[in-house]
Amino acid sequence: MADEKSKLGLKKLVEVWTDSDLKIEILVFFHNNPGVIDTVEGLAKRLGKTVDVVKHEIADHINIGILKERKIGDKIVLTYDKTQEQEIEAFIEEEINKKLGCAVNAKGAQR
Amino acid sequence: MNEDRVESGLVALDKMLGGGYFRGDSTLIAGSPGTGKTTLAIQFLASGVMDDEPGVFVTFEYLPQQMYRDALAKGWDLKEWEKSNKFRLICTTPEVLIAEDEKGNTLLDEAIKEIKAKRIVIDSLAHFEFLGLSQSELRGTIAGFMNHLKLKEVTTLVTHEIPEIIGPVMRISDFGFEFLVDNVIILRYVEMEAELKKAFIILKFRGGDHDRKLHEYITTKTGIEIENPFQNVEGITSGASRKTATQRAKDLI
Ligand SMILES: Nc1ncnc2c1ncn2[C@@H]1O[C@H](COP(=O)(O)OP(=O)(O)OP(=O)(O)O)[C@@H](O)[C@H]1O
Ligand SMILES: [Mg+2]
Repeated sequence: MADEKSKLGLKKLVEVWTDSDLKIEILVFFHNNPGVIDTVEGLAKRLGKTVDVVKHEIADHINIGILKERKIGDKIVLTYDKTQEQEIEAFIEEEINKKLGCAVNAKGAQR
Repeated sequence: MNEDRVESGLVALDKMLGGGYFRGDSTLIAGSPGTGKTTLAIQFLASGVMDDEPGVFVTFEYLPQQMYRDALAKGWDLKEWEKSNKFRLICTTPEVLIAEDEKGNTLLDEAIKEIKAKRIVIDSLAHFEFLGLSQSELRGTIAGFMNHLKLKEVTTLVTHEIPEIIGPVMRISDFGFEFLVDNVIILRYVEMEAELKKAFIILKFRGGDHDRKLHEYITTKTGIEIENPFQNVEGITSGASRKTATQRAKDLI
């Protein structure tokens, strides 16, 4: 649910997330690919990162409920909570694009 | 449209099937790379969206962002369909898809329930081969999965790759998947007078008569279009066709 608490959580994260591009990358990944349902191992593969790193990085997303952990059979899978989509969209447009835009441009310039 | 039939999304195919797929049946679309399996599958769900028959598309292959982009180029706004609860796009792995919770429900069951889906697409079955199961286990797993869908009363379309691009196709899959579905459609390339054409073949259609001719089809920017049957050629199923003897004689005159 996109309640006050999670809205606040998301806002707070904007402030603390500046140090980690991967956290933002994960948020953007799910924003672009909301239908992805996968284990942490699967997600790590999709992102081209190690499982340990991804596990560590998604803790915040889970905390504020952008990502939900679900047990299905003997697996724990991550699903994206679309109910916060509007705030996330605004967040991405305002804040992240600037940061990622710089990163992408820098990468592009290197090529 | 007859109540027990479901539109395929292509008028010509509905005609070939004698009025569309049978409701609740499963159809395998087997084809060589790039023959339009995914496109045919989306066309099926697109017709459902128009017909108030919501659909779920399960992809093991593409990321949603690719699917959204490619479909939009063909005029299908999947995101809009999702917003109006006519469509769900699930991108996962076979392991996750077949996993069941304590009540025996899968994530696909939840999506079906959520939008009251009547149509399902699984793209593609080839990914089940990565589960590392023996052939008989794999066959059992897929048979179980198909039975599960049958009980949900959804009309299902599953895709599968035929690795051969041209030449005779000896078998569709190593694990006999073609025997676990009600219908089989084959999409393949055929060489004809130094040109690569595409042939649309209904190999099996359980419970009904169907068009047994080999039709030419083209992929356009709005999807697959089935054309007239190939005329006066033989050997199409071997991948290399040649004109019939009568046609060759006619050509000589
Ligand atoms: N705008 C277009 N106009 C004409 N043909 C197109 C257009 N867009 C795609 N195609 C054709 O559609 C084919 C791809 O369709 P599709 O992805 O449905 O095939 P596929 O059988 O699912 O492929 P794969 O084996 O990669 O899964 C391409 O090979 C291309 O020839
Ligand atoms: Mg495909």
